[in-house]
Amino acid sequence: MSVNNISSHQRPFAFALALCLLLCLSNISQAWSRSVEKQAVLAVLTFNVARFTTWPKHAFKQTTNTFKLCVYGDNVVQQSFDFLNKKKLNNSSIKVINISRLRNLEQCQLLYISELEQNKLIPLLVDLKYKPILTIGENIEFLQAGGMVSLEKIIGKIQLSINLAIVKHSGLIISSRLLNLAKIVDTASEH
Amino acid sequence: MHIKNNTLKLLLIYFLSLTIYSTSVHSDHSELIDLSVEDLLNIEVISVSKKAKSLNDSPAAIYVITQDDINRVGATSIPEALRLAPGLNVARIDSNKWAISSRGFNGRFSNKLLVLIDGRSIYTTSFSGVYWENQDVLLEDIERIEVIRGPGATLWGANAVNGVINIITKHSSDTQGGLLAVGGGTEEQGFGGFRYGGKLNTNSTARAYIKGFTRDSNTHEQGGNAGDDWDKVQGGFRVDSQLTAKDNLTIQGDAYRSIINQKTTLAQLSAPYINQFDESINTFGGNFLIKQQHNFSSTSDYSLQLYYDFYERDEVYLKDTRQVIDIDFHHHFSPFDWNDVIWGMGYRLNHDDLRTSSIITATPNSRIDHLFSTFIQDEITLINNVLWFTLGSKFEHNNYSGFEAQPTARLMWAPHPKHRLWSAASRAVRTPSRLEHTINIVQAVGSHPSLGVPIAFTLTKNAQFSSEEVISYEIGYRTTMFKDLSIDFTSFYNQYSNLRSGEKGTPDTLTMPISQPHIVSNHFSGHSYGFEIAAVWQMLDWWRWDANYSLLKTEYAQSDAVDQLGLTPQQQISIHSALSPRKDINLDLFFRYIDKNTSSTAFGITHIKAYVSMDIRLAWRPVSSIELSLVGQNLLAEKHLEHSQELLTTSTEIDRGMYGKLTWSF
Repeated sequence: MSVNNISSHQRPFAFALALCLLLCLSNISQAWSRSVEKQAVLAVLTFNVARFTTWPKHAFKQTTNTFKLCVYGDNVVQQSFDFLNKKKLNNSSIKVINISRLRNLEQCQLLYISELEQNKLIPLLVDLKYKPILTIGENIEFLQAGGMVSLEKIIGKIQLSINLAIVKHSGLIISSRLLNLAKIVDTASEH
Repeated sequence: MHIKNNTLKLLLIYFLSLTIYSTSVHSDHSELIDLSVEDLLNIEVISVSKKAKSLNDSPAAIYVITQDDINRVGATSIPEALRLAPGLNVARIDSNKWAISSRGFNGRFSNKLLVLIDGRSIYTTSFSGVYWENQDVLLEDIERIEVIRGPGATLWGANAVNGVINIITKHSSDTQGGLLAVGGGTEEQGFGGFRYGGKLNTNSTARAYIKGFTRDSNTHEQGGNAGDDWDKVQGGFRVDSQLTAKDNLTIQGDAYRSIINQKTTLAQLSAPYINQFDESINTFGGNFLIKQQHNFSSTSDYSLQLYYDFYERDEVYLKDTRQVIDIDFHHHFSPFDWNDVIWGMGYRLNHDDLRTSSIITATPNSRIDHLFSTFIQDEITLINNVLWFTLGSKFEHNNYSGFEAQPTARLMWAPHPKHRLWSAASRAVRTPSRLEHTINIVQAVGSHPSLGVPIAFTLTKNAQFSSEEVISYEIGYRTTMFKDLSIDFTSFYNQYSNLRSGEKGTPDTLTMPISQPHIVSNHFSGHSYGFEIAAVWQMLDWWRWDANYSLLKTEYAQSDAVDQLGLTPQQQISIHSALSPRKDINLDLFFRYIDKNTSSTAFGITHIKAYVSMDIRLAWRPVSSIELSLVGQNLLAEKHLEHSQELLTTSTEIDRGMYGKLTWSF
């Protein structure tokens, strides 16, 4: 069978296919245009959670006017926090510190952990327990491991969950305005 | 040529419509910062373009193949999934055999690449290589495959001369519930897999799986059925327990049985001196692994791993039974704020039992080998978050070449969040195998040029054969400076010495036929250089391109080395287009160009032509738990030749194939 033979039979199909593709694609724009990139929303939400949180005085040591926001994650996560550098937060100026190794964490007022295996996360959060460091992660397992705030993507939206018992133990106070929007998780009995 | 015009028109319409409808995801913080928390929690978010933006922080040429990649190209085996990685040459010899190597020296018995599944070495010391057909997992349970080009000996041990492949399966908590995958087609005649995962108690999760397949035969180069069809059944399990807040335990195991068919072509000591017959090989094996991890803190932990692995492979000319017991201890800690130390030690026992034949003889038939090893590596932070220096070495003792040291020094520089530069200098060795020290193989029987009597060419053992060695220099650069595009570039120079050669010995005229030995020796040397580029471009939120290019120049110091060592393709290109025109539809194209290569075989060298190949996969999810897919493999030619095996079989061409698959998660 020659190529020309096929083409004469297939021409209608080709146009039908083109039409299908166009219809398909018109759906695409609707599906994607309303969406916002997750990392950008998580960074802005982190800033907002910090705005609604009060730290005890001893959390700042000598550098009262610098708020150290530590980020543990890959370069994509780190870059999404860049815009917060030097932004004002409750009379302090934010300094974003990108952490590549999980050391010197006690300098931070806020620790954002993007992804960490549970077996490394649990001992890390045990070490930070009772310390005035607001810990924020990206799933509910983060709270089960002893973390304070989780920003988890569930069916296309971010769900805010707070482990209130751990927050209270650390001396931090989260505003009731924020608590009203959050799902409250209590894992105190497990830890 | 109307069809060409129409195709062009179609493509034009397609690309135009893409331009019209393409929309970019909002990622501007300035718009978001004005929103209230309520609004932010109500916004629709997507996470699409991570692959094109993230940079790996390892000072090594590492490439990660994800579960999503494996699924989207429709790979049906580990070797087929490995085609996604740059710098690797994956050549299918026939339906049930593969030749896979990193940065050259490819062959069925390719020996400079170390392969691990969940920390268990699948490299066999019988011939120093991997029986790829024996190695499988439920592909849906793979978390990722890390492909490290270049020496990885310091952490992983000997034989990681040109690369390490780490196949890592998912934690059992990530495979909860059921999964059923069934399908069939022309080459992949029928396959099915079932896995179920559940919670054993509050601290333990588990899964078990069973899978099987039957694959069709291909076409012999001279025409006709190559008789290489095969089938396999495999099952396994994994249990993960969080014993305490600081202790984890993993127990896993697999067992398989397979019947592999092939047309065996062997030398024969009597007329007609060549023996061709259809053979059905029974092979079975299994493994059991237990691993305990303890975390003292986030910067200090240890792991203790013990595994047992065995296989039996019953071929007419050789029955190979092997058992391995391995124990490994790793300890990681930070003595100071500026460094991370990891050290460890291990012991491996290898017990084999060979039933040989007139063509292959071993002394002794059964043997036990011991391998002792230790390593230490220190990563020193020179400038916080900017510059790191890594120094380490592996030391080991084996029964064949004795003591071996394999050091490495690596520097990693992150001058900016969007740039990474690294360089490395390393030494690695490929230790001798059982074959080279204790086995004779009659490779071919020919006619003596002057006497006219038959003469047998024998690859002859040599207990003095020592390790092959490489000194390797690498530099790498990664960047995401262009929007939605990441580029990973690596260049290398490898200096090889003591490469295996077969040296003509004194003929033994007292035997009939006359025996001409080719003694296993270390007389070859050479060098190779080249570079690899891996790029990921998130062109649109729903359309990603992965493109790889590899250049490899291999130059041997001896002119006759190419006859024995062959030449791996100099250039390779692969392009993967991953398109999701709708959220429930995926369309993937996977195109490859592989340069010509030279396979060295017992019957002389075979030149294999350059070839192009393409796979296409269309998948539709009518509901989120069900996926229907249609895959076309090797679509650009009815059949093509990728590699010719060193011994035992003659060249087989790989056929075009089609299959359909249903995956149901519940």
